[in-house]
Amino acid sequence: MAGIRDLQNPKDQKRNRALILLLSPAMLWLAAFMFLPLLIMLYYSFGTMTGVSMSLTTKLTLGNYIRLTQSPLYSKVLYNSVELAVVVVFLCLLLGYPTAYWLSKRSETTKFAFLCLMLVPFWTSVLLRTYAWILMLQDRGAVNFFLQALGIIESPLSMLWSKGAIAVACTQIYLPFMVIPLFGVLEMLDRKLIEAAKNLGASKLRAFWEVTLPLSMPGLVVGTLFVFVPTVGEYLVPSMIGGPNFESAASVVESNFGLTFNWPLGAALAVIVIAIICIAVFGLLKLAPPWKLIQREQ
Amino acid sequence: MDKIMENIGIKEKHVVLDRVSKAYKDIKAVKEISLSIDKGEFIFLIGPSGSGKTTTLRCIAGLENPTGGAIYVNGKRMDTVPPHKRDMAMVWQEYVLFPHLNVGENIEFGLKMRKIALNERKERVLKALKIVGLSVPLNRAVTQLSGGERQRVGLARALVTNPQVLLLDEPLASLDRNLRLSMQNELKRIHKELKATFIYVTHNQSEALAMADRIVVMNNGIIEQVGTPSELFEFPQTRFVAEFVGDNNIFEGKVISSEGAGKVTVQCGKPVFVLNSEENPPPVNSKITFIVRADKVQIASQNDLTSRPQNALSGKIVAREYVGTIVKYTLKSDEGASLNSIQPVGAYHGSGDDIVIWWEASDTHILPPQNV
Repeated sequence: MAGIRDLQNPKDQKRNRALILLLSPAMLWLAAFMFLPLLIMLYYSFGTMTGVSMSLTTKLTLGNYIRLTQSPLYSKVLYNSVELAVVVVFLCLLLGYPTAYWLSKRSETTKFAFLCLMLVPFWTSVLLRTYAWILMLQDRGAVNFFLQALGIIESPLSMLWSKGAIAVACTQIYLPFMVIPLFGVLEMLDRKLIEAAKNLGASKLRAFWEVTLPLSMPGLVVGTLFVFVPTVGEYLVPSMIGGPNFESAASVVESNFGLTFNWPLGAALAVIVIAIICIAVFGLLKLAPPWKLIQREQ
Repeated sequence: MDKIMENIGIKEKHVVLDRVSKAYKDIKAVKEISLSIDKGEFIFLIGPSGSGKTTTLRCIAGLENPTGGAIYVNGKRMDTVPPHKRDMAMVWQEYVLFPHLNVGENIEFGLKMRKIALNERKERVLKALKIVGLSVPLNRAVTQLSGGERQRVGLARALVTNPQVLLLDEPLASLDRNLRLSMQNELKRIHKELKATFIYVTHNQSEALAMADRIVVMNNGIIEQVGTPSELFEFPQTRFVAEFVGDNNIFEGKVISSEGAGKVTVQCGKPVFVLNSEENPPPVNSKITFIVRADKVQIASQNDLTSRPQNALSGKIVAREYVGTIVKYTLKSDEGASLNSIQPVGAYHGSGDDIVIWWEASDTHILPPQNV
């Protein structure tokens, strides 16, 4: 039971105080620049704008929330963002799990090389990478050019300004956040467990299903969160390559603050997005707590 | 082909290794070893690390593919069968229990893979627990068990499938001494009860001497000797076996006379020894290696002896190690040879004492010349 501290124990009390002191600069930073603004936003979300003066009334109402939940426009926007996040998580898993699995079985040199390569995209800003997708996916872009040159298609495919294009671009951005935690757990996986499963009568596929997959759950949960959370709130990619028909929650929040100056409505939408993220995070952590699934030293 | 198979006993024997080799890139871990194992035999593979014993076991399990030779079980070729279809359960030194499954789920794993119905699974899990003498709740996490309990779960998980061959890879090496000794007895009992073939790998010779029907001594990827514990202990066939099994004093010398009744005189440097040769006495002038077991090497103070024994050396006690019921002495003869002696606790000799070291001619064993 080492590690669990007894709060009655004066020695541990002292240690706790030291810990709080050490953490306090970070806590202060978070309090001032994150929790306080969030609280202000929460306060705003219950406010209303008055007429042309554009000033906030002090009367608090649930009006914004009622409007958001009743208008099909806003539910559509929220649905768009959640759907995008789910699709991107799925694509990242589909591409990331085999990559991480393959990489975990390679030599040290290959692992090192691949992990370095995975960091290369971070040298370029997301803005430029998203712009590059426009160049690649547009009607006269690289992808259409090659497909036509190879004779696979006759007339260019219209790929840009679609949900698919956004999902592809987001997957490209967030894939490393899925691969790296998965690689971490698969790398730590004791190969003898797979051998034991085979020895007890499990085929290769069965051994994967019964042993490898459950034991890689911590990485899977962490990777899913790392991809899901930023994608729900993704602003840049949908607004750049989503086209006029696709609106994400983040871009509607932005237009409420920056264009129509309806801050309370924007704040309420932002609160809902945060709530969705919180529910997803807590739900996933409750369902499959990574710290409990981690393969402990025997 | 059938005739060849009969000749090496593939059909009657339970497990047969026929010139099995395993090479990694530039290392030959196992070099063309052949071995036949009877049904229900408790056989040990022993040897130092890197001797190829574990690789051999893994080849039998199918966790390694031999690079040469063939493995037969019940007369059927087995080395081409994937591991999950071999019906050989393994018990590991590090237990290798599935950390995400509880005790019951770990034990029933093999049954689940064999698509056995839930009711029967439950029954067999309880029976396996009983066989290994474990009484922990089935829903206990395996990470909460002690080492001994984990190894019992590992054993139950292997036994529950009624494997035709049980493979044990240093199963007791991670346990403390008392637990190891009690588990040795348990394993012997379980082997008797199940009448399955047990193939057991260890580097611990006392484990092998205590449990084995037969022992295979491996070194550098080859089999040095196969025999019962007493055969290995009393009549080692190679110098390596003499060094690895038991506590032997090894001498090299030149035969100076070889008489009819198996009486051989050997010169080892200055001293001359008389030995009894069990079989054909070696020819005069040939070089031989012979051994004297440590427990056959006697020591006495100069004054206690009325006459000098036949094979005697003067020397000193270098070190004395008291091991409860026996005392181990490290001795040095005046000629500079180092010897070991094991004596019952009794007559006291201390470090630095001048003593006479001797042994009976009948307590020597000459190693076969081709094996030295």
